[in-house]
Amino acid sequence: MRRWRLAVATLAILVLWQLASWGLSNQALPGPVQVMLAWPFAVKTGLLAHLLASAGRVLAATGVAVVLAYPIGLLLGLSRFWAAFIDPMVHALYPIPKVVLLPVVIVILGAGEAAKISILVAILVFQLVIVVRDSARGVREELVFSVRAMGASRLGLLRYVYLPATLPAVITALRVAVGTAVAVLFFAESFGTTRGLGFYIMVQTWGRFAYPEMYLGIVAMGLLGLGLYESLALVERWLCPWQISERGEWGGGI
Amino acid sequence: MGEAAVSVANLHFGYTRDRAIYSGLDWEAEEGEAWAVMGPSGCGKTTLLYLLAGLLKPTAGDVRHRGAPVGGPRQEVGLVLQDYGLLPWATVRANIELGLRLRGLRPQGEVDLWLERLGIGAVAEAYPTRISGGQKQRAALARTLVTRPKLLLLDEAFVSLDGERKKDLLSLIRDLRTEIGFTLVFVSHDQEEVEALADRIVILPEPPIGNGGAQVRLMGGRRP
Repeated sequence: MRRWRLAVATLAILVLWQLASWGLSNQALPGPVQVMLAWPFAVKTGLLAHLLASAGRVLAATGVAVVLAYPIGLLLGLSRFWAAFIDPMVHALYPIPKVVLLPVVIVILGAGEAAKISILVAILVFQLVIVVRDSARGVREELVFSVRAMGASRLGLLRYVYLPATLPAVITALRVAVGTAVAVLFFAESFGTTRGLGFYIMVQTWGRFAYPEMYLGIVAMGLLGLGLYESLALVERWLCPWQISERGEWGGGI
Repeated sequence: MGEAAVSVANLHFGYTRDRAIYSGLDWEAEEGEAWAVMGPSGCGKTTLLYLLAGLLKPTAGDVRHRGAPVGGPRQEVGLVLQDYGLLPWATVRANIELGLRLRGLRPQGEVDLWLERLGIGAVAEAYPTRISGGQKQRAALARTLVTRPKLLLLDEAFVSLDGERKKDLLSLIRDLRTEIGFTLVFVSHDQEEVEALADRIVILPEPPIGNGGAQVRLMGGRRP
């Protein structure tokens, strides 16, 4: 049923796209058929390699963000002492759009991989810290008491209570945040690199007025976001099987 | 007089400084006794169990288990809470195994044994959100009983059970007192539970509860 709905939605988008292309009659908006005909040339000029480079950056940033956010979020969630110091900083920095820090990051780290991954980490880590903190604070005291009463150490509480309690919210936050991360990645890849979909779209195709290939780059970017979103749904299904049980059926995915 | 399995002396405790729940309570249970703790809502019945389990620290006074001061949770004490305290992310079997794992023991056949004894073998692989309140209550009991505690603390542990299930479970707890020989302290509002299990009753008044404030009643001196 879900696959059928997805197929109909995709077809509807392609039809609307084709109608818009005919209506506008502008070379900047080729139709989907014309775009698909450019596929062999796009592959020859490295579209898939650019897609892999972008995917690698998002995955690396996601990994670093999770590794950083978990201990900070748990510290804030479980220690009033540390929360008193760090919470105000998080509140002050969270509303700043992290993409505006890109020039500063480039000045400090250079225009290479480190800068691009760092800006994605900055976007992801704040959201994850807040989610881990709030999920850890939301764990019922009775649950903690029941596990402590069995002799759990602090490490035992982390392993058996706080990590699983925070995991579903972290994965949900990641699914939302990777969309933003992909959008910022496009911007970050449009200069200072020769690899990635941002470079492919802005420099290699748009800069040469190769509109059909450019649209293939845009489609690839969309598929990257969709792929990450769906992959996280699978990760949630694998790591949080009790969520399926709780909902009666799996509620993840589109 | 037998040896005190668990005792409180000059117990003082309050969740806030301006409202004491205990202000000098003295009480003790002998080894192997079963005590029912009764009293009005908010009088500190559950708090007393938390203090005996070492989950809360008294603001003053002394809590002892088998003569040793209680400084924190101990492995020989089992606590079953009214809201079960089952981990939602672990199956019934994994919840029961947790009681052993946290004590450094490797789960073996005893988990299956307790699943069967408590009549929850059919839901062993289910998550707690998918089982009934009575099944959760029995899973919580199994998780504690599998460790064969020396002091068993039950907080309204039978409220989710229907008539026959409750009778069976009360009978099982009585048998286990003989088998394991634990001291039992349980909070209850239910006359049937108290009559079935208790040797003695401590009735707590409205706080603050000082020395002499709690009434003690003997249930015919029955012992297993």
